Amino acid sequence: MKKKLAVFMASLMLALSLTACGGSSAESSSQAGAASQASSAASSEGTAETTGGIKRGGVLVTSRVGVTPLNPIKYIAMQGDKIIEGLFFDSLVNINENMEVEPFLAESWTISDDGLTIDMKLKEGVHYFDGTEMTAETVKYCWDWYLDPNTAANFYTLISDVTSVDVVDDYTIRFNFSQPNAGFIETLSYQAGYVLSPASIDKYKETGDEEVFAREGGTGAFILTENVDGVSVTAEKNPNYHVMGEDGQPLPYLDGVRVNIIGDEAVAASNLMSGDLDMIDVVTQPAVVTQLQAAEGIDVRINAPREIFFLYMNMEQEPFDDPLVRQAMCYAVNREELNQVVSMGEGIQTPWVTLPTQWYYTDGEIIEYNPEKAKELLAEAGYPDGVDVELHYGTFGVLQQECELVQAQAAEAGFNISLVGMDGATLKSTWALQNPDAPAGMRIQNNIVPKSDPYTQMEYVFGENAIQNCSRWIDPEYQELLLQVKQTFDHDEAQVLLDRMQEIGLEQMPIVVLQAGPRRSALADHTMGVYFDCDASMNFRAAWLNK
Amino acid sequence: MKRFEELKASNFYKVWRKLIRRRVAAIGLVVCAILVILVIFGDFLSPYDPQAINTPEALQGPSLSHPFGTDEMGRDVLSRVIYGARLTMLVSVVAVAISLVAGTALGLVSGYVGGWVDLVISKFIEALSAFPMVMFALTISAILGPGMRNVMIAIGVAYVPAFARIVRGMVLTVREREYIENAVSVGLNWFEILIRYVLPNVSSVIIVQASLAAASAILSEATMSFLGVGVQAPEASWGTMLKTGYNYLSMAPWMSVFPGIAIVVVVLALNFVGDGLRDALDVRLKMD
Amino acid sequence: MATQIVKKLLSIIPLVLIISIIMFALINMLPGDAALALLGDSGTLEQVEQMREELGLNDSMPAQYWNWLKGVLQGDLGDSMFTGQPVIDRITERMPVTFELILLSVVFATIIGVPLGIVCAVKRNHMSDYILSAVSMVGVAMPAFWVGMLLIILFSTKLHLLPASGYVPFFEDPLGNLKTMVLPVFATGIALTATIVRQTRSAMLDVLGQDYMMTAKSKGVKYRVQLFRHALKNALIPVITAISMQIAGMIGGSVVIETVFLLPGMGKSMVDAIFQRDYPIVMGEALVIAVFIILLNTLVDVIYIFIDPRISHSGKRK
Repeated sequence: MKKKLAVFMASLMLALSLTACGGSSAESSSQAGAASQASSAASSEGTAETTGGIKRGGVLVTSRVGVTPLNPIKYIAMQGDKIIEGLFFDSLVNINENMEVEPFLAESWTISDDGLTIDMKLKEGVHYFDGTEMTAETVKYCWDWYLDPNTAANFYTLISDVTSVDVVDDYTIRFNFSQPNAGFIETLSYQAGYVLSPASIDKYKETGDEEVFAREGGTGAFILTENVDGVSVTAEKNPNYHVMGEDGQPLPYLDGVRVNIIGDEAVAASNLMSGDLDMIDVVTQPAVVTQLQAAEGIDVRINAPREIFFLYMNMEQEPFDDPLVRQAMCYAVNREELNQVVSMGEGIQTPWVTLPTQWYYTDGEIIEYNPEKAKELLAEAGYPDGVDVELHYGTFGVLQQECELVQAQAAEAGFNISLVGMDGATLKSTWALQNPDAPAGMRIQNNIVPKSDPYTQMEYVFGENAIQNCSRWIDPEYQELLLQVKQTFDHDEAQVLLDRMQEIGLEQMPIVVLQAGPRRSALADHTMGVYFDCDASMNFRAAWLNK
Repeated sequence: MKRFEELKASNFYKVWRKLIRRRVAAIGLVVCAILVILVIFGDFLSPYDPQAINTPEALQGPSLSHPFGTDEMGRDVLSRVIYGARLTMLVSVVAVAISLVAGTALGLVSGYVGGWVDLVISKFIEALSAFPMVMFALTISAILGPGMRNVMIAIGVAYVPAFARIVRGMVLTVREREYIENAVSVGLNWFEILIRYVLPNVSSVIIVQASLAAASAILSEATMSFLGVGVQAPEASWGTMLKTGYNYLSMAPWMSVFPGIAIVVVVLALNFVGDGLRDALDVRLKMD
Repeated sequence: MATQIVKKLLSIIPLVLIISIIMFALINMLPGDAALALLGDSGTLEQVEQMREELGLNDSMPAQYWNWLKGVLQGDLGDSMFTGQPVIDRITERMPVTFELILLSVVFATIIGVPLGIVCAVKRNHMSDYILSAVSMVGVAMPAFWVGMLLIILFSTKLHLLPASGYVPFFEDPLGNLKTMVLPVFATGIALTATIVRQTRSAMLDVLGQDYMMTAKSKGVKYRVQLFRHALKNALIPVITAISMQIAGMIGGSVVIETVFLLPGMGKSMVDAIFQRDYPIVMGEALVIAVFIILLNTLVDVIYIFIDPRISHSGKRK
């Protein structure tokens, strides 16, 4: 009921803003601003109802900026990979656009008082692609495989607290933990929460066929028909899907989905404008965004998550081993200008790597651009004539522009920055915590937030085993608190711990937070019903084409 | 030796006359001269600092204050094109120099010495040239990392086979000539023979190939920049300007049109000069 | 003649081996660690080590090369480190696309270039010669990807005549396939067309200038036509050489064309693999490309042996 009310309000707002602005829908999408864009997920469903009904059929073609492994245990980007994985695999729970956990394949669950057991009731009537039914037995089989260290699932560290999974009755399973894990339920909205059929697992063990799960072992709305490695993924509808559509027939409405891997935003944009694509998963470059906003028949929407830009500073080597230098760097950037130029004014400032929409967000001081102060601090640290540092970045998205601006801004403050660009894979492995030969200097990161739960989110950047802990900052108190957060179910208690962690971080400054930029997608006007959740992924089970 | 040098001097004059007579070659030379002026005097000629970021004036079309318009950061495109000449030509010239020196050395040795040395070097060169130059240069760039210096090395190494092959072919023809046999009988060692006698006769081929390679190197640099391994921000060669401008093609076409035209003009000029030299020096590029 | 051909074919083997060693050495100099790139976002040192073991990265270089070579001789090119797809599958998926691109470009360039070159030669030093020559020179001077993007803007975005990108296999839908290939072939073929025009022109001029052509003129039209055809045949030899030399460059150029037009070809696959440090793919595809080019060169050499036995003897010492 609440949802319908929201939809009604959203479509009312959209209609009002349309009449207020007059002109074409393309104009109103840029003039009406954030309001209509933020609600256009709901409004696309709203427009469906007002234009008289959902049409079945057709193949939706979307772009995806990178390659996704089709084998979920080998995922590379936790959030982005869900776009393609979500076609074939359902997860036990979902997180909606308000960052709330919703049941999906798991209908309900109870957590024991000591936090060491979770009982989960599964949905009945869910079938894998090969026709077998999902039951507690099959889920246990899947989890036994996940928990086996020899499987080497990439999410193993996220679920390593689970000692075993038991069958309670036909549709109830029990997770047993060695220690409480407060973020476990949220983790089940990601790859660890996918449910794979026993037959496909056996086949995989035998043949090593990476595509077997997407073809035979999932429960999702679509089934893999063709994968041209690095080029495209084609899927057709699953006729036996367990979720019903608004017309009383099973979802999905579409006959199929095709994902084209297009790394270049300009190429994707020209495809969208010529009609060869129905949507683009991510657009970041101001040039492309402006072009699409001005184009007819295309809507650029801002999604709920944000992309937090920040600078890692290698604390194991000069000059950033000195806290004064790190502090100086904090004053050497003009966050407002970065927001205006790179994020087109649609970014926000946050003191730390959390968003105001998250429950554990704590506000704090946003440091102003103060090159004089930065110079003083550098002088104090022993660099009266400034200091030379390298800034490494990945040659994708808007990182280059961001870095060029930082370079110009920090020059006033005594930092003589030289830019070093490289591809994503090299950047990741060069700066990985596990790489003893990491370079000195800084690296820029665009971290997509939120991640499922506070522990996972903080661990990603500051964990003692995290590949992405590029500043190499391992503070004993912080690590201690991080582990405690993992086991604290009560939000108020966890908030105290997280506040203290933020304090420690802001004191020691392992990173310099720049701005939290928007995450945008671009859709053709006829593309409806695509569901955007709270992180960077989207789901197509309820999508349809209005043409 | 003196007579030889006198001959050379007058030959040079003859070649020059022949070159200028062809209209297109003359135009090419004029363009090259302009280019040299831009490269040397760029600092004085460019109206703005090419790296001055001026975000309020971003993406403006050509106007009186900005004849070539501004780019996405408000930088003046004309200034960037002028400075870009420097970087582009630097990459091109250094790359050609590397491949010229290495390729010529290999070609000379392999062609003159013959035998198994020739066999090994030839096979090596053949193997290198059986590989698309762009991919080879890309691999080398990936190894060395991005950046101008490494692009120069990458393109330079990738062009070595072109020089080596042609030089070797010429050396094979020259070897049989009388004055070589004379030099051998007089007792000069092979190194001296190569440098003093063989090289000057091979030089016409090298010169032609160098000017054509320089043109080609500019296009290669553009390709490498497009793939992301070229000159690094915020400096810009014409290739990197094309790459950035590519995103703004429908909104701010001047960002790619002007560097693109610059590339076409210079490549044309170098090709004209190269063709002209080929005719003037009456060179038949012999290959085995 | 037969022995010469056989000798040429046999010489391919050591060449291919040398190439594979060079590529292998180069690839191992690539910075960045495949294991770290493949691991998700967190991992203990043990997990990284385990990944390295699995990928065989801990063996010595010669050992790794030998393992790879052994596999190749048995027909196994390995699997992609990134996606697990067998390299052979990747190659069979991608090769037809690049092959079609190159083939169509050569056909396009020849059909347009040769007649234009003849026109230039016949109308030497007239206006049409100058214009055509100038235009063809410009064609060589333009970066192919720039041309490609301009074509997309014009024909897809503005005119909606042709698809902006994508690829449809020929056997699925011949018309659709040709529609997707028009723009890429044009962008790739322009440089080759220009080269062919110039080569044809100069080769024809060479042949036409010779004495017997003058006598042909005096002997009448039919004789002239016959000799013209003869001249063309001779002129085509350097043109064929020029084309074959360009093809290696076109394969390299296909990288950017395939990126801009989203053609799932070998060029793009290899570049992506280099960036992703997907060693088996790089090695496998490099090998295939090199073999293809060497075979092509050998083919041209063999054709030469057939056409002109004199040529095959040049370069030999007295």
